[in-house]
Amino acid sequence: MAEFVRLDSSTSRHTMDKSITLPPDEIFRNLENAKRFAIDIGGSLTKLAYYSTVQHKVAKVRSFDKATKEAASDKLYEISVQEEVTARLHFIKFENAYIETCLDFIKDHLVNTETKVIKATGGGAHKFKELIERKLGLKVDKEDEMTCLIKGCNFVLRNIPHEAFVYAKHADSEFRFQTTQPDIFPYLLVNIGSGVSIVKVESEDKFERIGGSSIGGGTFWGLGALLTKTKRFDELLQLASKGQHTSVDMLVKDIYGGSYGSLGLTGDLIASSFGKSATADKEFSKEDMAKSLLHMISNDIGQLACLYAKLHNLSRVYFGGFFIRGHPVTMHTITYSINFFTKGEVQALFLRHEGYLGAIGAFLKGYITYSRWRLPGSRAMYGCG
Amino acid sequence: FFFVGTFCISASIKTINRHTMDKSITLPPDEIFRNLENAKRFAIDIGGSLTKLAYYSTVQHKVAKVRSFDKATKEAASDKLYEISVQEEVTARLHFIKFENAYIETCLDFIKDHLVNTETKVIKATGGGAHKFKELIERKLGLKVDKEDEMTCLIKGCNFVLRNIPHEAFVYAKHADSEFRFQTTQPDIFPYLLVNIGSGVSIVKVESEDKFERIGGSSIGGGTFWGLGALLTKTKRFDELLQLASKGQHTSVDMLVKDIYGGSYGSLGLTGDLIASSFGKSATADKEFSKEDMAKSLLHMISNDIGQLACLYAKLHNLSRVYFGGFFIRGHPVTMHTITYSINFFTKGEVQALFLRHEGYLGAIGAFLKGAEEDNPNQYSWGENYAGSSGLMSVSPDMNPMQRARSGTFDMLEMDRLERQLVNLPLLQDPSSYIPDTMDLTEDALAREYWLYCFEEALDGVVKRAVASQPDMPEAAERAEKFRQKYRHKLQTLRHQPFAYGSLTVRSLLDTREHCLNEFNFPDPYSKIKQNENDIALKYYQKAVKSLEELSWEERQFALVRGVLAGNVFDWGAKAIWHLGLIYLFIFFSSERPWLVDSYDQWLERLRGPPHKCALFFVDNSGVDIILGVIPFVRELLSRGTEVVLASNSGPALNDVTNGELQILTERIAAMDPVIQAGLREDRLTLVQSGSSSPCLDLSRLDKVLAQVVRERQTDLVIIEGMGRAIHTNYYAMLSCESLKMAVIKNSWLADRLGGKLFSVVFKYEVPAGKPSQGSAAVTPS
Repeated sequence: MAEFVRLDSSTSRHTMDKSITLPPDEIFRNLENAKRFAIDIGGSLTKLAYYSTVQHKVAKVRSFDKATKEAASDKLYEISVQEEVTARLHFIKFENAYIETCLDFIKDHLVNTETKVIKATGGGAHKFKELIERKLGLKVDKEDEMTCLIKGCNFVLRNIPHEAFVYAKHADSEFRFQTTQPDIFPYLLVNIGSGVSIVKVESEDKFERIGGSSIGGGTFWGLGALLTKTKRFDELLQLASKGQHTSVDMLVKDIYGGSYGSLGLTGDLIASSFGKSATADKEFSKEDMAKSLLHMISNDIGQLACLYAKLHNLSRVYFGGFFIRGHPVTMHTITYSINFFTKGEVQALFLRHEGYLGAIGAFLKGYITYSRWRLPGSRAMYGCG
Repeated sequence: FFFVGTFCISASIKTINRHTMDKSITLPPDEIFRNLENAKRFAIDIGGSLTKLAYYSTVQHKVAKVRSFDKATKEAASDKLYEISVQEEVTARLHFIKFENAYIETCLDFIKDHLVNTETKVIKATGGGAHKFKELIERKLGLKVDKEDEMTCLIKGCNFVLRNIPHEAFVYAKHADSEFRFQTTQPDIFPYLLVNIGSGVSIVKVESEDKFERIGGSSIGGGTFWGLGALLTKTKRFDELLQLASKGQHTSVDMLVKDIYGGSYGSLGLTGDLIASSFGKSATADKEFSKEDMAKSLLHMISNDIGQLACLYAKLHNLSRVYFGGFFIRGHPVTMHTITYSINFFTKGEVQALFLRHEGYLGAIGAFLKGAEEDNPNQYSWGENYAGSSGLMSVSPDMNPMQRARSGTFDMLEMDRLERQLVNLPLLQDPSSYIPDTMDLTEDALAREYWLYCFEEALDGVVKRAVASQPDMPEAAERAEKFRQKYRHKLQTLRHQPFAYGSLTVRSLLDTREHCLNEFNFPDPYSKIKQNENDIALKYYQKAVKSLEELSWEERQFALVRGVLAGNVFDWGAKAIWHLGLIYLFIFFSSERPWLVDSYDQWLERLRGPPHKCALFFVDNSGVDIILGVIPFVRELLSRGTEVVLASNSGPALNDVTNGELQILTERIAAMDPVIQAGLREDRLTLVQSGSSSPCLDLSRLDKVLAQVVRERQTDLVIIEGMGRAIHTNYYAMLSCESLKMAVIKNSWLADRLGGKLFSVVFKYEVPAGKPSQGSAAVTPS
């Protein structure tokens, strides 16, 4: 089971604000019974996972004893409410700025735990290692990032119905959820963080990084910052969504006056990203440059993903990483690119809980299990094992 | 003198009008737009900054012809064996010229003024700029512009150069002794992948002459480097951006694997220095980045991306030959290096990045071919004319900063239509790995120094001989002087850019000299000398044959071999021979065995066995060599029952006997010698031409007829004679039948190199592995 609670961050955005009071009813639930921890620290967000038990009431039905049946009631069976303890996984995501506050809170509320270690992954894991060890008194046990990511991905694909979805910007419903496949393997995971990792996953324990690219989210961010003087990733995406790439990019029709029919190239196709800025002596708007950059990077990743998918004969391609995470703009451009390059043969798939994959994986590394889990509140699809 | 491929502009005009169409430029017609008056067909390829013009023209030049005197007049006229006459011959030549778009109007005017005999009404045009300049071309030249598909032209041109120019393709290795490693021409050029990096990238799979498909592409190309580079650095010129990039450090802008993980990411096989995210550091670092660093990072980003895409497409389509072209690559060592690095990284060395010497001309060549289809240009073989071609990177700013500064650079390529179609010798063991040349002077700096010096030293003598060969032509001295300047300039170019015409070899140095001599109408400076030598040698023929016949069988075999070797020593072309007495000295020395390479015993053993079916003999010099050395040897083979095919040069080169001369010589000898006469009559002795006019021998470019004869006669022995054909070339050539290479090393430096002395003898008899010899086992040289 997973719980996803977002920390409200409208106040004190960029500082480590120890005065934030965390509402314990809302987040870090069941912390007093937390048994096992894992943490995934990315470039900007921290994902914390813990395993806890929940004591809750269940309604039980019971046949009346034959002897007493007639006397007690005319009901067929009796209902009783009992206490039951079940296992639950909690995942919490918050900005790195709050890491110290959160660690303090955890320390104060942690009562019953017997664990001595916390599994950690993500690029930021070694940066905050010392802080975590000091605050929690737990030994930080670093786990391989890619292994955690894949483990987490396998976990959500197997346990969460409608985890994967297709993004269609102009459709009635932007998100079209996929039904869970009985066999989730093999698949391709394209993780777009600062750079791009393209990983082929063949089974629970077998995966291989078959490719990658240095043109990723960091490139959008870095080049975008240089070109537009806009330092925030979100704002860059905002700019991009308002721009016109055609004023910066050289299109097929800019060179040939129309389409290049014999090669099957339409006139609107981008022939050269930023091709117009090579010779035109004019200023380009921030929006247009950001949009051109976004297209350039999305198309490139899309093409690479397609080629690797074809080369390895894979039809399921999942995209993740901070470049994608919750951004309709990038989901749209990636989807567009995949459709263009595979002529619809391959669909770009995204994951609802993509941001938690590393934390889930790190947690599972410390807790080898093949249990089935479900989201609270959603219908159980599998029995407990 | 002018540099070839450069046209001269007065400095004042140049500085004033850098970017405008300057009509006051005067073009030196001797240097560029040569043979324009006979131009028959035009094609033009206008790119973003350079225009490439192609035209087909004819060249009238002198050739030396030999002719027997009429029997009736023979006694009276002279005591000479045959007469030599100089005739005019017209051959076809393709001219290609590359110049900056800024000069297009000047050039069109120049063409208009000099175009006399053309009957053509159209000019084929291709390239992105074709429609921009359409109206200008039509107005200036009065020709109708006929647009051709750009990609089709590119591919057609690519096929043409790959097929016709040896050493067209090369691998670039920045830190190697020789930056350019040229590839041998493959018998089959298909299939291949062409990655054209212009503004964007096109990835094209070429399967045959007429079948190609654009299988992929990318918008991240040269235009992206230029465009993003201009935005980031405020530098507007492409060349300057590359200059910036070559000085920058990408690590200050890029996020490396070690920046994230503190070191390598071992479990994924990622080293710490690998770029994890291009421009990743500029996302968060609040600092200014240098122009150089940003340009470098951008260059890496784009090159790596293209490299990866190319590899993926190559893998997906199972292609191992990947050629890169387009303005991003053209003449830029920086981008060739980054692309090569990327390809090596992504394919772990399985695929090599290949570049083309004449990549810039592909579109123009293709457009021309489209217009010349009625002439069936693909039916002929073509050869690069070293005299009229500028060579690789003649206008590269990295290579020629001086020239660049003067700007207005011209680059030229000329290709001669060869009279005969050239093919592989069918007896090559592995045509795809055959390398004619023994020594690659591009890679061997010491050898390069020596040979360049050697050829420069010999230049005075060559000039003298050229003048002497035309005593009744008063302007010969002036032409010879022009020849001297041209050839010396070629040698100077090669000193600084050994890669200018492909792998530098003794053969290419000799061939370049022949091309330059022809260029200035010295078709055969040795004709008179050859005539004399032949006359003298013929007088001794019967005596020589008689004395051989008096020997025992075993003595005769040895005497025949020594005869070939001794005859070969008698060579006016070699520096060391200045005294006729030396030949006797040699005969004395050569009796001392073992020779430097000596498999004579195995050869003799073989001769005790059954005769060969047919021997192919590549002959060398005129005079004593052919008449007193080779013919008696051939005579013995014929007597044994072996058919003989004598292969001699189609055109003159030094004092080598030409096919025309050999025809007359054998006729004369047949008149004296019944064995030779019977051989000719019964068609057991055949004369064929090699298709070459070189003192060396390229077994992958031989006359088609020769190949046919070799096949028909089931040739099972190849004999190669002389230093040019058996040492400078083919020393390591592996044949699928028995072979015999005989030469005397007449150059002390080379003798030293090979571990011998001046006049060391190479007698190399080889039997291919796996083929049981009739006599004894295969022999490997010492």
